[in-house]
Amino acid sequence: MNTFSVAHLVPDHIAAFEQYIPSRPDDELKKLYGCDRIFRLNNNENPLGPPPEARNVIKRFSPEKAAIYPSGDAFHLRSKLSRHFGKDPDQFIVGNGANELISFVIKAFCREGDNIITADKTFAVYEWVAQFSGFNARLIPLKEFGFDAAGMAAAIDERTKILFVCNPNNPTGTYWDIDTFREFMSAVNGKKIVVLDEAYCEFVEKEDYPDGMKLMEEYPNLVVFRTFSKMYGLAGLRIGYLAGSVEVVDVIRKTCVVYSVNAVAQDAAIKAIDDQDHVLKTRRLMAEARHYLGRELERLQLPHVIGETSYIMVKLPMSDSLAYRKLMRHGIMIRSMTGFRFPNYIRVSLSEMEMMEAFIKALTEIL
Amino acid sequence: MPETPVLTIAAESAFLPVAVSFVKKICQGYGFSQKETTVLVLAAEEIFVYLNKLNPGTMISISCRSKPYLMELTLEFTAENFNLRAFNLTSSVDVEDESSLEELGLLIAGRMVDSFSINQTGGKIHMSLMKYMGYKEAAATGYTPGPMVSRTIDHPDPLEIRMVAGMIHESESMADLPFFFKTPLMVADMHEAGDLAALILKDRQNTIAGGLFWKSLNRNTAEILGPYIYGQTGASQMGEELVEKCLETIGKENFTGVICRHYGHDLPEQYFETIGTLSGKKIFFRQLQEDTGTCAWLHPSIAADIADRYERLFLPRNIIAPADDVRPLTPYTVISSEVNRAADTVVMHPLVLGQDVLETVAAHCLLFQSDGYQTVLFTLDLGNSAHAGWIPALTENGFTTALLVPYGGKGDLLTLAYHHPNRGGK
Repeated sequence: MNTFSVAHLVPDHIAAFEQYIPSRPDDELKKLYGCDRIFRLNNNENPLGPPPEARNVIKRFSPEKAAIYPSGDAFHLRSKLSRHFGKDPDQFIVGNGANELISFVIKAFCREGDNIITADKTFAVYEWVAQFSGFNARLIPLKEFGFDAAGMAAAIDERTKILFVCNPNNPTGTYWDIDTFREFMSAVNGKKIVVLDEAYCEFVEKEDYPDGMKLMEEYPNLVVFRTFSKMYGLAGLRIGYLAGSVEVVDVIRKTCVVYSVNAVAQDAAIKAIDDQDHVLKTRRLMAEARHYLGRELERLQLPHVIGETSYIMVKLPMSDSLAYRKLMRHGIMIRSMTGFRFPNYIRVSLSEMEMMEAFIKALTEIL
Repeated sequence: MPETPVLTIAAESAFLPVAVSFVKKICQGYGFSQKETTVLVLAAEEIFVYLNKLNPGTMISISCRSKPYLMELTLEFTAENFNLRAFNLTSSVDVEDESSLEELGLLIAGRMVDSFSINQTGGKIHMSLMKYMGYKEAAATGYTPGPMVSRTIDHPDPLEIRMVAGMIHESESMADLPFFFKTPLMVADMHEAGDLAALILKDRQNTIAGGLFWKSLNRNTAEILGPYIYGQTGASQMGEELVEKCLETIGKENFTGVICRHYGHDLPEQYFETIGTLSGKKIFFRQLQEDTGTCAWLHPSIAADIADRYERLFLPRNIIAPADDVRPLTPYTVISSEVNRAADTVVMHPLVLGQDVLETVAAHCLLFQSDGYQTVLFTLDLGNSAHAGWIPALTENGFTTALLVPYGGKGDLLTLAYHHPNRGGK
């Protein structure tokens, strides 16, 4: 038998790349860690689940439809989004979660030797996709836990194609206000694509928070990402979308993989987007959890960062990976933050009080 | 980077000069001194000759890879009966025995180089022999840093690396340092080769007060060396800043964990967990990723002890016992030994489990004991089912569990320490 060695076929930028290892399913984790239940506070999922009408769509989804390809370009969902935001349907692209959209945008605009700019401590997928596509990711250190607008603008050169801004930032929860955003866009001066990732925008209640959907009318180089995974509780169906000027979106569409978004996800998203009551209920729940955790973490004298989102960050006097294992023994799953370049920090999803109290009880025990 | 030159040739006597010339020319081409070149040429020659006698005409691939501080000779071939026993440090030659004499060359090859590794899969053998560049002893710098003003953490240039390595060399005991700190130039060469990363503490006046290094131990594990900080008040805060910066960097790399065996007074322990003690010194470790669990192949004789350690370290593991009726197929056991004279330490690694494992382990222990080594260790990869077969021979020879490094190999890496029966342990 011929022996086959794959190594010589692998490009250097792939060989050097760190693969992402997702956590195991709950049943496996329960066996491994010896706990009888797991409270998942690691992925910022909405504890209320999807809005009621979206639930009904999922329940009523006919098995026969599983044999039929979904709309390849999410026709009805784009129509719904266009009505919801008062835009042209061609200003939207729907993707299999925001991760896929990041890939579309980078593929559309970058070629060998180009770079993207983002922060060093933010949602890692911008950096990953750029790197495993062979492009340079320039990572600008956060300032006071927030994106450094001046630093990012200063890093731009002629090979910069895209600047990714996570607003509010994952994992710190900080956000750029409207003035900061405008200053940054002025510095970019319409020369580069700016992606404003608003995955958590529905959680923000502050008046000075910039609304990318409105601002894109002023800035044709602005692309906005949104998701149904967080506020709308459809993470398991994998669906998100981007919006921008028709001119820019037409270019991005060339790199899209059609049929990547399943039919039930499209149908559920159509019903989810209008449910303002769900948004308000979720915000109330988040506010209660945020207030409770803030108070308890003060009591425990643990430094923490509470932003405008559905999670908080806590600095521990121990290794975050050790804290992960210890908390798992108590059936609490958090996100350790070394991989986000925040050693000894954990990120905790805001959730129902039962889970928040269980987290604080377990945390108190392991400290 | 240029491709590594490779010579693939039949192991025939007629081609021996070709193989020898290839290694010699490559070493010379890379600027190795005659002394180091001769070592690798002789090693290649001895292995070639042995292979020629064993399996004339079998194909052998020879390659040489150079770094500023070492040359690595790699040999790959297929040979069913290649006797690796000669690579045991305990091997000797019986002048009355012809087959033993045939292995003399292998024995010489194994002893001449600074380190070697052997992988055997079926009949395919991959042998890597390394020779370090010769370095002169460093002259003392006499440098003592004053208090820093407006300090920063920076990536050092080659001169700064040498300065920090020199400070460490002069301030710490070599017993507490890896061997390459003996010569700051070697540290700088390793840094230049990309095999050692570093951060230093400096200020606007270019006062350099110390630093921290890290390197890859294997695919999964990195090792932090330091932090070492000199002449500063508030050094513990500086140590924390260095460690944080280092973790921010390696947290994004491929490693699953980082070990810290060599460190100064300013190691921020809250960033690590203790995984054991070696020679009375705490060994620190930290996982860089969330632990998704793995299995551990463990002989029943130590399974309870290791399960207890797993419990204390909160590590989720499935312990699997190997079949107890499997006898090694090969007659001879092969062990590679990593010797650190400055630290009085030997670390043994399993290569081939043979029917004489009990006697071979005993012979190695006797040798190291008679040579006066204070610490004799043996590592096993608990993710490798074949390694579980070594455990009875090790426990019977007086080894006990000392250290457990999560994912230190294919699975967790278990280090056992030798306790001489007449010395009452150490």
